[in-house]
Order: sequence, then C-alpha cells, then structure tokens
Amino acid sequence: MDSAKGWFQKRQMRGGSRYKGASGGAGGGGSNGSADEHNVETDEEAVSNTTKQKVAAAKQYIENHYKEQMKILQERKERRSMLEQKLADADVSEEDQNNLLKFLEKKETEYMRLQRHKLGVADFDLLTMIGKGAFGEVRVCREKTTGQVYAMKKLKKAEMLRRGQVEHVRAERNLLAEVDSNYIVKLYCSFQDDDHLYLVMEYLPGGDMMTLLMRKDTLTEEEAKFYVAETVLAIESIHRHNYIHRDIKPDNLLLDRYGHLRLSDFGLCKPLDCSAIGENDFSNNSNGSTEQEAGSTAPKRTQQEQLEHWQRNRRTLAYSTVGTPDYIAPEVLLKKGYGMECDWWSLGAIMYEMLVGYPPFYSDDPMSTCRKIVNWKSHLKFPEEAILSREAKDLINSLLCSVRRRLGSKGADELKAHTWFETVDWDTIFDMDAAFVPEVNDDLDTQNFEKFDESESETQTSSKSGPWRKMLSSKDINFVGYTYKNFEIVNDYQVPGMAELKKKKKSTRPMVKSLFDNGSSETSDSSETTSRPPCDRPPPAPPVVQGSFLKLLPPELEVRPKQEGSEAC
Amino acid sequence: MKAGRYEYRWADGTTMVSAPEYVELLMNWIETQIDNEHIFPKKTGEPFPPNFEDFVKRILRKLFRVYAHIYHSHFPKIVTLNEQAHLNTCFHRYLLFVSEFQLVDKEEMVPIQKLVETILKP
Repeated sequence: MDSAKGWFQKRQMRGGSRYKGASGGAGGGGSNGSADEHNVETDEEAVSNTTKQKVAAAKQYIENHYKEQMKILQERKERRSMLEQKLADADVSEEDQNNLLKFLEKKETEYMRLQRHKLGVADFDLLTMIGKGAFGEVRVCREKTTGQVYAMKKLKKAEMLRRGQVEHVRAERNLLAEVDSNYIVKLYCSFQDDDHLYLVMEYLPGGDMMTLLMRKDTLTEEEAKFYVAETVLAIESIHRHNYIHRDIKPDNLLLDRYGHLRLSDFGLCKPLDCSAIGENDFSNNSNGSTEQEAGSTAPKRTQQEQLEHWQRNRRTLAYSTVGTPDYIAPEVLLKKGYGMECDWWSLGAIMYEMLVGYPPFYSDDPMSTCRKIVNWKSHLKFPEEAILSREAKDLINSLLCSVRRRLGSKGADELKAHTWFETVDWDTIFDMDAAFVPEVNDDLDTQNFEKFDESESETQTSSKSGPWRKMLSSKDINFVGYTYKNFEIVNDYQVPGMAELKKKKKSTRPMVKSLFDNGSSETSDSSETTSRPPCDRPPPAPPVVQGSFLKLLPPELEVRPKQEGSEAC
Repeated sequence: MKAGRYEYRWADGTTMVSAPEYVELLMNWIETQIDNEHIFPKKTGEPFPPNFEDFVKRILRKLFRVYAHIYHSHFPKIVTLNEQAHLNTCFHRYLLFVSEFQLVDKEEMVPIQKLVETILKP
C-alpha cells in the first residue's frame, strides 16, 4: 500500500508539473493573456456544486483504481517470487521449474478473468436472516454458481449517510479486505447497487457469544478464559492494522463450526440513543448527587434476579434496531476522543458478563447505563454472590478503569502477561478444542442464531444494479471504492477438507499452494452433479491423471488435505 | 464532438451529436463490448475470438477521441477544478499502453499530436 501511494504521489507531481504547460498550450493555443484570465475567472464562478461533487468522486475513483492495480501487481510479484524461492530451495530441475512457472502464469491469467466478473445480489440465493439492525440485515446466502454458503450483510446507503456512518463502513470494508487472520471474519467480496452496500463474508454457523451466553447464563473461569483469550488475539489483530472497533460486544464475537471465535461487526452499527449524555453526568462524580442517586435507586436485585432480567431484556434488544451501550468505553460515550484502549474496556465488560451473568453497568434503560459507565468509579461492583478468583477480579478491574491505567494501553502483550492468563498458550489456542463445540448439522444450519421474523424484512426491491458506470453519481461519492473481490479464499474452500486444513494450519497470503489447489477443485467440480443436495459431501476428487502438474511438485510442496471420517456431513 | 479542427460523428460519420451525447453513446457501447462474453470471455478456459485485437483497437481508438476533446475544449476548466494530475495520469497510461502494442494509428492522434509526442519522447 505504501509503495502504491508513493508511486501515485510521484505521478501526481510529475503529471502536474510536466504536462500542465504542454497541455495548456494545446488547449488554449492562440488566446491572449487577458482573455485567458477572464476565461478562468468565469469558469470558477460557473462551477456548480454538482460539478464539484462529480469531480471529487472522479478523483477518488481514479486514485482507488490505481492503488488497487498497484496492489494487485505487487501481490502477483510476491507470489512469483515465493514460488521461485521454493523451487530454488527444493533443487528442482530447470525444466520442471519452467513448467511450474508457466503454470503459475496460467493461474494468474485465470484469476484476472475472475476479477472481471461483476458480482451482484442476483448471483446469490438469499436464505435465512440471522441479524437485523437499523442499517440493514445479515442473511445466510448461497452463491448460485458454486453453491458456496456465505453471510451477506446488506446496508442501506441512505441510513449510512443520515447517521454519519460512511467512514465506519468504509473502514470496516478496508479492514476486512486487508486483514487475513484467523481471528477476523473473512470478507469474500463487496459490491453495491443504487440503495445498498453489500458485504459477502464467511458464514460462521457456530453462532455468536451473545447466543452462547443466553444459553449458558454464566461460564466457568476456564471456559471464559478460552473466549477472552481468543478475543484478545482478535483485538490485537485489528489494532495491528490501526483499526479501532469501538463496538465490541457479544453479538460481534462469532463462533465458527468448531467453536473458535472470530471478530466481526454483525451488530450492524445499531445506533445508540445516548446523545444527550454530556460532561454534566461526568461531573456528578465529584459532588454529593451521586450519593443521593444511590439512595434513591430501587432495592437491589440479587445476582440471579439481575441475570434473569438481563436475559429477558437482551432478547428484546437483539430484535430491536437500537444498540446497547453496555460494552462501550466511557471515553467513546463522552465523545472526547478515544484510542485503541476503548476496545480493551469492551473486553473487560464482556468478561464480567461471562462470569457474573450480566454486563457490569446494566440498567433498566440505556440512558441509565450510560450514566453508570461514565461514572464507573461509583458503579463498578461485583455482586456478593459471585465467586470470582482474585486474578479474575483484578483483570476486570484493570480493564474497566481510566484510560491511563487500563491494561492493554501499551499493547496486547501487557494484557497477555496478566496472571489470569497464566495457563493460556497463545500460540496454540486456535488449535485447541473450544470450550464449547457448537452443534452444526449442515452447511445451512442456523440453529445457533436467534430466529428473526421474516415478515418484518423489507420487500425485495429490485433495485437496478447496472450499468455499473452509473453507480458513480454524485450521491454515491461516499461509496466510491467499495467493490472488492477475493477469489483466492473463495477457491480455497472448494477443495474438500481445505477448511479443515486451514483451521489447523494458520497460513498467510499469498499462498502458492492455493493456486495449484484451484486445479484440483476444477477437476472436483466437473465430477459433481448439479443437483447435489446440500447435505451431501462433495465426492472425492478423482485420482490425479498421469502427467498432471502435481507430479511436478517437489515432495515438500505436496500437502494433501486430510479427510476426516468423523466430520459431520 | 470536436477536438480543435476535427469533428467526430457517431456511427462513423453518419450522425452529428454533441460532445456529452457522444461520450454517453461511446461509454454505453464500450460497456456492452466488455460485457459481451464472446469478445471478453469470463469463464475459465474459454478462448478469445480470433479477431479480438480488432475489437480492442476499435475501443481504444474511440476512447482517444474523448481525451482529445477534453484536452482541446476543457483543459482550463480541468485545471480550475484541480483535476489535471488525474487526467494526465490516465492519459499517460492510456498512451503508453496503446503505443506499446500499436493499437491506435498515429494519424488518429493528430489532434493532440504535440502532447502525444511530448509524452512519448524517450
């Protein structure tokens, strides 16, 4: 990205200085000086707002286009370099080297063809709704061509603009497109039409932490440790890319089919209704009114009563289009500027809920919750009935505290070193068995999500999506550069057992092997029947034909995905 | 649509149209060409047509006319809008591409010949 940026800046300067004179001559030849001046002045006055918007959109489009091209070129070079390096290390004959390099070129060409396919909502069958918010909804969907199952997040452009969420959506799309991590939900593609933005992401059938906590009420410390640790790694992953999530909560902690955790933003940015809160509420901490408030509150519920109340209320919240502030850091609520530390606060609130059964500042209404969060010094308490270890309490108190003292402010390693995590092996936690392995019956199973009333969803408006060029209208200036495709990951999952292999082995892109696996998947695809029921496993790939490229691979590069018989269909 | 002394008509000389109309017609036509899978195949393994190069040349030749029109008729405004770096970058890349593969005849580039020669000069 930096090299692309530098390249473009260099071109910008050269373009501006070198061609301005020549082009000016070509354009204005024959005119005298005073006429030119007059002409320019007239032009300046005549520039309408519509024109300015279109100019800004065109500039952004062009810049994004060249950035993306440079990135693609860079990645292609890296893939080739990596292959050449492996071949040199493996001591392959020159003839075999040439054959493999030619094969890579062929794959790159096929990849470029895929890039030209313009994806749209018509390429997918929309299935069960698994999430809903003010900005749109999330559905399980299946790509018509491949039968692959994804989660499609659909966002209303009008709502994005009205609520000032354009930058947040762009940042999320950019993060998902940039990060390839076990801890972040994978983005396969994004596109738009007149009214909506679409994110097509991997579908994680294990549900989310919210659903798990609704079922379990509380977790043991060992169980909680597993999820808190994986969340630490996920947050560390996005912070490394300079992304601040701001809204980490149980709904955004997704579970894959093996129960491992991935961070997402499935919450659909449910807007908070706490804009009225201000520094006045913060100053309450310094005078006697806090005590009066404490005296006037309703008699305290027991932990069990509070938990039951929260469980009923959260079910209501899940279906509403209003977000909960329970996990949001005080500095975010006060809108006084915040840094990456705000995500660690959210982690502390989630950990408290796992162990106690409800969020630490839970109240009957969001405004009261916000006030409690802002005055956390007076309201952070552990119920007497809760039995937490000293280390667990200390960790929670180190996360739900002032920014200056908050653990994680100097990086995730500071947090990982806490004694509560003493038994956590950070390098192998994703290879361990999860604290709970979700029950998943088939690819389309949504039993681990809440049921949403389908009749509430808006009717499927057939919003026109073409011609694509007309997407670049003045109202869409905010959504330039949204489209994204990542076929490398898509193709990986066509190989039977590849998902299993990826789960066990963390790999970073570019992955030379994935380019060769595309060949296998093509063979496999041709042998599949078109009417294959979703529950059937794909037939095993036919034996490799004589002289295929696999024979040319040196032994070290051959890694066959393991077929596990115990895997549920 | 004009580029200095030159005038471009739609349908290769039969229809006189204004510049905005010409650009709109051209962009629509190019989009249909690119979306035509018989010319630009999308599926893996499908071959390009034998006369693929002719299609490409036709598209790029007509695109040149848009650049010529912008440089001749609108460059001061482009500068006013501070967009000249973007325009120049796009045209520079276009020109290097068509020159490398000889996709547009030199006669077609006469309307902005000086600019072209400046860019292509080694």
